[in-house]
Amino acid sequence: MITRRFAVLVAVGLPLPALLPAPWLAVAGVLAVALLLALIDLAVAGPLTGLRLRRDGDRTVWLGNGATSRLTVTNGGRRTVRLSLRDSWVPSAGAGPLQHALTLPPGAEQEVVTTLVPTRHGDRPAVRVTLRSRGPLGLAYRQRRRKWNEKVTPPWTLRVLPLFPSRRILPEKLARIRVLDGSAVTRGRGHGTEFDVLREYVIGDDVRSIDWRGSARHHDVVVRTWRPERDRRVFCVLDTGRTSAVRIGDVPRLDASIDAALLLSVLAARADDRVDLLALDTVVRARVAGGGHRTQLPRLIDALASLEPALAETDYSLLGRELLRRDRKRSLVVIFTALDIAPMIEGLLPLLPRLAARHKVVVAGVRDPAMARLATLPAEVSAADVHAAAAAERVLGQRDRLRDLLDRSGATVVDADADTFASKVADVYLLLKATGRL
Amino acid sequence: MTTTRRRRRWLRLAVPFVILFALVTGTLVVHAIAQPDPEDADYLSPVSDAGIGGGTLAARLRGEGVVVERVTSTVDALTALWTGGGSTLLVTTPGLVDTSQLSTFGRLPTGTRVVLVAPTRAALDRSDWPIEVHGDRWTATTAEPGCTDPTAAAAGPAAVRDLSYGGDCYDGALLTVAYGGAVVTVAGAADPFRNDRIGEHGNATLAEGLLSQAGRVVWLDVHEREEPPPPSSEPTPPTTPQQTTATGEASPGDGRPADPTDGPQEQPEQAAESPPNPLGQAFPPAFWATVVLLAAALLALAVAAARRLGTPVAEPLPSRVPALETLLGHARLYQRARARGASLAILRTAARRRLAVHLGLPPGAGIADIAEAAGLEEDGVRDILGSAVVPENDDELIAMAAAVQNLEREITANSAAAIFEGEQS
Repeated sequence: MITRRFAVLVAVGLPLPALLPAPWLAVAGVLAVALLLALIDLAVAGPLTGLRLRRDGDRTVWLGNGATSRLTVTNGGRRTVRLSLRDSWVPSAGAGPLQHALTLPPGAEQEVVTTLVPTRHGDRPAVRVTLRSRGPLGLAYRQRRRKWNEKVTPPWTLRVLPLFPSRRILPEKLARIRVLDGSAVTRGRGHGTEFDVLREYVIGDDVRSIDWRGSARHHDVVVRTWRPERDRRVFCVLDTGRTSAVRIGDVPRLDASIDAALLLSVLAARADDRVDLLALDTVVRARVAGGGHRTQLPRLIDALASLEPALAETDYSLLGRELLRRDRKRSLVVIFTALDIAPMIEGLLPLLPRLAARHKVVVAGVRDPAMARLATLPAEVSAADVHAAAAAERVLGQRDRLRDLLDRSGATVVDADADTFASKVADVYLLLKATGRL
Repeated sequence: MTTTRRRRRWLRLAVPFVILFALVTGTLVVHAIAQPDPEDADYLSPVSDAGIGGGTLAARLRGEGVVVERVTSTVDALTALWTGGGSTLLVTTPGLVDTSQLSTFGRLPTGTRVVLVAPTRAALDRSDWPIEVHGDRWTATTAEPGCTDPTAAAAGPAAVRDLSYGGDCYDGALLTVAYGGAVVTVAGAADPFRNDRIGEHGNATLAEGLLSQAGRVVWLDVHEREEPPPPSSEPTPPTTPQQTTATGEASPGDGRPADPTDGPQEQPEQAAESPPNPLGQAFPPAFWATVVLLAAALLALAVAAARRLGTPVAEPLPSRVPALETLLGHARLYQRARARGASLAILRTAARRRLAVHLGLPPGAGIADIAEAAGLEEDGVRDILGSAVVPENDDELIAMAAAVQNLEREITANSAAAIFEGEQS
């Protein structure tokens, strides 16, 4: 193929027909010279088949941070290759720069660095590396078909972990766990319901916690200390069905759910509880179960990263099959979904009494602040505003009814705006933990 | 699935064009079939009774005492014209007749009237008559005479408008020109002469008016293309100059009707063959060579720009649903249906529910309970929250909805203030 320089070469010959006596011969001459030079250039250009590509770099990155991917090109041919290279990623990977130019003598290898600033979480694949070998004159180049380029591209996937805006409230929640634990100095001893140890009484201890039988044995006054229960089970259920695709503010509802689930998982892992995860719509999209306490947190984050809303109705019978197994121990089931009445009546509500009989169930849904805004009339009222307010009130009324229904079925409902949602869910967990109701 | 979809994708582009092509072709075929064929032996023939024949017109002319003489070649027609003076020559198929021979200056006897039926552009180009086709139509249609020509005025509206020649009559479809001692009349369509159409509008009157001005009609009935005669002159031309001078004086008093309103349109003769394109000679070959080279350079630029370093990569698009879609749809439905009563009822129910919760009343508390708990007049609260009046127009609806919201705000603010005062005291 020819380059723009070839066109410039032809354009340089433009005055010749006017200057030479035989204009048509001059045209033929200019074109012939340009074509000849281009052919020579093409023949001299280094072959693409001798090139080898290798890639390394970051495998995971938190959304909002940058990652780098290093592509190493080795010239295994016997001629120098003047290479133009384009490292194509999916657009949401935010890859740059678009093109690299490098000159590779025989046997040399060189590294090109692509910086990635992803704009969405999930797996961002490297799609294709396109190679173009220019001739020394720059008049022509060699480039193979797309299929060939895709074949030589080393496969690579960058896993982008979801944005975790609740990180900023994590220290506060962790401090509350430490208070519960008794490892931080507060008003009381470690709260909890699980017996920890017996120790000597010191002045200031609650006299109610003196263990008289132990004191009789030890010839000294001993008190019992308690600690919060450990090794409880937290089961996060994420609904990735159609209701999770709804944009709240500018992000889908699922992102808020992921954020809250992350916070809850981190808290539970710190409090020595086991965290399981299930994401489902028509099929189970992600499942993280078992494993040790803290070791599985990265696995959990990894699983959450790849979740995407699907435009399908969620099948809660899958959840029932998972949670109503006979060997399933009692756990805290947190269902992240939307408090929409129609899918709830179809899906979760029939299942809920049986679930609540065996587990502690929390149903958490992000509220859309735009709805509350629509429900109040603005200063300059028009008829359309009144009708919109009526429609919003209708939905709000339905949601209140749904909350009553869920309450009556034995579930705790968390219904909060997106900015406080994760915090509210964590509070429910901490409250249950503190009161030993897990 | 994607491959089949890709395979069918070209159909999306092709189907509209195929349909369009079929429509256009079908229309053209039907139109071509519907048009009469001049090479058909029946076409405007005085001895034919077919729909496209001219037997009716011939019979009518004979009925008026006009002699109709049918000839089947131009030579015969010229002979017939020269043997009897003051005739009308009717050329039914100018496209097939050798019009150059007829139109040569002085070939026709002076005072001859020539009527051409729908001569095409090609037929007129072959002739010397200073007539041009200015435009044509898809089919023949009727037109008002629109001029003072006695024949046209007598006939009234007639279906003669198909080809137009720029005259005044019938929107240009009828034009009379004096040329070479003869008077040439062109009619834009064959309809007024045909058996099946002669009875419509003023067709019959127009056709008879055109043909019955002299006592004799030479009806040139040719249905095969006539070859132009060899350059050697025929017996008739030598007589032409004499005859012209002989009948030259006679022509004014020939009983001809008043001059056509168009008058003789003498136009300068154009050069027979078009000259070579002057643009080609205006510039030296060096210029054209430079243009070719420039085009080559631009083509090379386009080719160079066409090959990309890797095609764009498609983003696997996430599913995103706009929030509040159904809610806003509901609102628009209410508005479209003017469901003011329903909208207001929803707002009132919601306000009552919230007030009941706020005032600590059991769910489903009545208006009386709310008014009592809020310390307000029951009637006033009932007016706002429970009146059966359905708002008649949007202004009433807005006022009532605002009243509901204000009442709610007032009650909540009052009780908050009361609690505040209670804490203060």
